[in-house]
Amino acid sequence: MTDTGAGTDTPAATPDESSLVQALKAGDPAAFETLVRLHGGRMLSVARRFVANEEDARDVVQDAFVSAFRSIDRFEGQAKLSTWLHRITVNTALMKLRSRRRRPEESIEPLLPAFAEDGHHAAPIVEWPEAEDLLHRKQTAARVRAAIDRLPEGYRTVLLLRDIEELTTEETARMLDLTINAVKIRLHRARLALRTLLDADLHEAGE
Amino acid sequence: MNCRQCTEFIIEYVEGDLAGETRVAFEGHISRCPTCVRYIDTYRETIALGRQAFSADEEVVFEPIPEELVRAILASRPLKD
Repeated sequence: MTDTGAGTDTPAATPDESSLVQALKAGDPAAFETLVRLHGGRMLSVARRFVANEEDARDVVQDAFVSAFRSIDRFEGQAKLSTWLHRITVNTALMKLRSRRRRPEESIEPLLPAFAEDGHHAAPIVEWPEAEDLLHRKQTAARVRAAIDRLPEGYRTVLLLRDIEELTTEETARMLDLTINAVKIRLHRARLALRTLLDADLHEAGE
Repeated sequence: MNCRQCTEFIIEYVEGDLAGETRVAFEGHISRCPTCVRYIDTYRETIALGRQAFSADEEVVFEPIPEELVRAILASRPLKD
């Protein structure tokens, strides 16, 4: 799993980190608190991407730490702690979504592109302005995150796993218990819908 | 191929999975349809913006974890035997 925001490419633990891991394995309570304070904020922000409300996001982080504490003996230091915790957080968030998924799913249809009877695009398609400066880029990033939040859950989750976590279609299918074809369809529709939301947003921002 | 059909195949096209007659028909359509070219461009940008939106998190200073959550987590820590 690519760990967006926590860096999978940076290998292995730093010396500080390996002493923290040793202390965790020894059951040192201070080490647990250090771990929670060091990584909890980032894990909360990852959990918020997947689950809709703050209470659920906090539950996810709490459950993720409980799993982490339980399995710290198996942590081998090949990955960074942040990467390992990130993965646990994503898995825990998916479990939370599964336990909650009982409501009928919101339709994505209104966000898909519209076509005329002859199959042409019903509305003109225009290029997007480029966000060149840093402030603009930051505003755009915030708008994109808000737009992703607006996608119906079953689509948002697929988009997060494929495009943000950069899992493969097969891995995503396995984690969500979907067929490969269903993942492809959902991903495509999620991107089309996100494109529709961004199209409206970016033009509003450019005016 | 028209714009509606073309749109169905964008995911395979951008991922390099479109082959054979479908690819020929797809490329034939976009060579004549600047609207679909712009649509595909913004589809690619959508993917790129999604990635950026979260990698930009690197620069965001994370809010510290709320104190009551820290306490709840530490209280629920399984004890070592």
